[in-house]
Amino acid sequence: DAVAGMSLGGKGAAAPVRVLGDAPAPPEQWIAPPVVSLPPEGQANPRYMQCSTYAIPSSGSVAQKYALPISVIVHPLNDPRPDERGTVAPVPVVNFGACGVIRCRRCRTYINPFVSFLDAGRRWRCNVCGLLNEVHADYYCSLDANGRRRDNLDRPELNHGVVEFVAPQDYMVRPPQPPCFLFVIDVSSRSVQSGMLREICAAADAALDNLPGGERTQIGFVTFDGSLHYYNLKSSLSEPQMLAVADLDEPFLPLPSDLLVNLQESKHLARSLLAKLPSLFANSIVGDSAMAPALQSACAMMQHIGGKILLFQSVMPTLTGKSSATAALRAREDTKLLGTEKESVLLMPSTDWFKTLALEVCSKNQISVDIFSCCEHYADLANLVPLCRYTNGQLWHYPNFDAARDGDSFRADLGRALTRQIGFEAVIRIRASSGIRISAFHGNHYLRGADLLALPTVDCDKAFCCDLAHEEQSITSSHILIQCALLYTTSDGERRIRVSNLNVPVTNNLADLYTALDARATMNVLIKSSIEQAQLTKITDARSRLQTACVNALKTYRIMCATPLPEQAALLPLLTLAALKNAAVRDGADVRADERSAIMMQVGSMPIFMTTSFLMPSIFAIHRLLETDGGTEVDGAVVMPASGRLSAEALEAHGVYLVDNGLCLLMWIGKNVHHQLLLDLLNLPSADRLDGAKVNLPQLQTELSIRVNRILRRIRELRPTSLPLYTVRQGGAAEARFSALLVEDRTLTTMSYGEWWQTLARQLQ
Amino acid sequence: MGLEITIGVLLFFGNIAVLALLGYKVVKFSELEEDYQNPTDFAKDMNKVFPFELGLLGVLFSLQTFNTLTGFSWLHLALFVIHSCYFGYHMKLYTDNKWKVDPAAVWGNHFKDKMKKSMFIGLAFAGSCFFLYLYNMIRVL
Repeated sequence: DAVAGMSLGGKGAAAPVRVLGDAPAPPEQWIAPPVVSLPPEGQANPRYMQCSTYAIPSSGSVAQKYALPISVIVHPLNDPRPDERGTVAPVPVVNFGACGVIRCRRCRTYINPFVSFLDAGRRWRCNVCGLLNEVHADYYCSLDANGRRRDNLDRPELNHGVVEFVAPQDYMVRPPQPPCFLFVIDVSSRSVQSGMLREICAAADAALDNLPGGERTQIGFVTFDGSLHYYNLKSSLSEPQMLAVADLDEPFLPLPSDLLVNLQESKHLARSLLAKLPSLFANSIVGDSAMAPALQSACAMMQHIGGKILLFQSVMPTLTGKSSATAALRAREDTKLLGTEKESVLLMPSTDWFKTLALEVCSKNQISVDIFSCCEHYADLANLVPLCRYTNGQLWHYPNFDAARDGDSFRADLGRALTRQIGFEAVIRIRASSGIRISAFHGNHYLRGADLLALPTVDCDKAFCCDLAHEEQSITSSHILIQCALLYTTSDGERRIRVSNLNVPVTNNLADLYTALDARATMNVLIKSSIEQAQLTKITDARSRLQTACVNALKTYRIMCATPLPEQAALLPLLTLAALKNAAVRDGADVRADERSAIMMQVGSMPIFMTTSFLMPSIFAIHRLLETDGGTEVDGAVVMPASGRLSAEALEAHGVYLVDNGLCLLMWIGKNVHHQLLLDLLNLPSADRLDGAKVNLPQLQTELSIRVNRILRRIRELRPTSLPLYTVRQGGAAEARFSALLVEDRTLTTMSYGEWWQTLARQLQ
Repeated sequence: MGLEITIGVLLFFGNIAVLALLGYKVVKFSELEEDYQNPTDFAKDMNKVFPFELGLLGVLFSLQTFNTLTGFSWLHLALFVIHSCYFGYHMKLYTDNKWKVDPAAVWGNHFKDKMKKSMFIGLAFAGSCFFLYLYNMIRVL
């Protein structure tokens, strides 16, 4: 009913209506700081944990009226980058020693800054279940006049919102695993011809010295085309030995050990192998791919230890064995289905084989799978995505991969995948105070229990979100604690528990929910849950879900509150429109099935700042940089230009604009751009050959080039992806890709921002 | 007469077997809820049980149909209707390929309610059939 009669086709401008006030302009800041509306003492830093709204309704009926998700988004390993270490404190590490990790006896909540100590410090009351717990003798300290422990400032767990505990033996079912990386590489003819094999070897070789884990790291290689090839990297050998196995029906490991080896001991052999692999298969004419048996073997190699499988694919799997018969994929993409109700069939797996492997083998044995898909044509990623999704892996998609064009992005992505901060054999549990329960998780995960995520690996680029629901009709406490506990093994082999806490006030006033709303966090949850809907039923249902949430939320505010819409809530319509136009769920036949599957997979793990950029890209006018833009501040930070409007109306024909959507950079070049500008920036006299071209911005000595390169470097520092830069010429064939990012403009299937705002205002009148 | 007795006894014990399978499902579900079993193993166990259950229901349905056709009574008709609904529902699940339990969805929003509902319906079916078959068996004996 909320969206009845509200089609999204453009219908022309209507008379302006003042019900909602004026439509707010998009934010100008490149990455807006998070909304902070809680007093900071004891709260988790927003980089680790955020809420969609910083007020919890006291009753379930108010929560239902609110119509937006009340959720928590955690980004547990979002540690400070090297450039941030001066300004952002690292997470303190606490070792409780003999008294063990302090937790509530009943609900197992970890001690946090919001517990209260009683009885002269001999007991503490859990703020989740209310139980009185005894204080261990080794942990005892007396209280001051205010009832706080005298050593409060010396105890990070009592005054930091995010703290890490060293986990004792009870938290280990086996000794902490060493980091283990297994490369499973397609060496079919396509892989060689496209240059993928050469790039893999170059990137892996470059990263060998920086793999996490130091002396404990283990490494292995498996290659496959029509048969499987294993490599004996025993340190006593002078050269790596290749062992080929042609039996795909029952793939077996030719050696019981020495296929996975200690990196430090066998590094010379690993390097030698990586140097030889391209030439070894240089003349390969085998076009087949025994990917499924290769995966089975890889899992068999790692099952005793766990770790990360990096799968490199250049053709669809064509050969299977008896035990992987259902894993053969076929080219099922029918472009006639794109943009129709039946498109969702292409987003659903056609076989359960990969999902079963992910759940029954990989997840059970703490194996995570990352996939680099470099196929020339359709790769049927919808079938491969469950391998990554349920093992908390990642998918990189390079359609029609060509090393000359995509090599640098590929190397950068692979380098990051290998060297970023990573944890192993992890689980996340989220707890909330009495009256609130965790109702659903969204994104890429395997739900091992009602509130427990099983993560074979977890890294600094993954975020998770969950919805909160009322367990009781009415909450009597003044605050709700939401605690996220990540138990994991660091790459140094230490078992740790990273605990993040948010103490959110309870309110019985609906208006407070809107005042405390964080629109970006809310949209992060909504886009993830919409993607789940699209994969479960239809993409149209996903879009309806987004629209309905926005309309109902604004309707409720209109009915229940007399004041103007708060600033964050006023951003909802713009973000909703951006989500409806986004490649993940937008209508139309321009998004191919593989691209949509890959985007949906990526969005599932995105933290808030990434979904915000992805939905609402930043656009910088390069030809109108201020004097300070691209310069450096006193502390060395680059001054970023203000972001402009995402509308064709705002583009100047003589201008050059840089758009950042978090996954790629587009440089739009106007048709009347001055040739000097092009020379200063790109060292080219004209833009004739720059339509849809991937470029590396040259490092020229001109001031413009220096500043723009600084800006680019700054953008790339913050992104987990390589951010390839493409140029687009005004009026060129590639401009459609750029126009799709102009959120404020009308398209064939969606309104412009102004029209959308007015339609909403009319509906709410 | 002998045939009627045989079929009556077979139906009765067949129904006990259905009750036993349902009891197994209930036990497995409670193990899952108490965290004694993980979702993957739970899904495997449930997916192993379904074909047995379907086969057993098919046999019972056939026997009951034969019973109804050869010796019509209101009791047989009632049992036939109950069986056809329950068996038909399971066949629909099978033909639509919706019978498999997805381990990734076990702790999702709706699985628990769906599972409880199906177990209650199953117990209602098997329970009512038990008493009707018992009565039928006593009657023919």
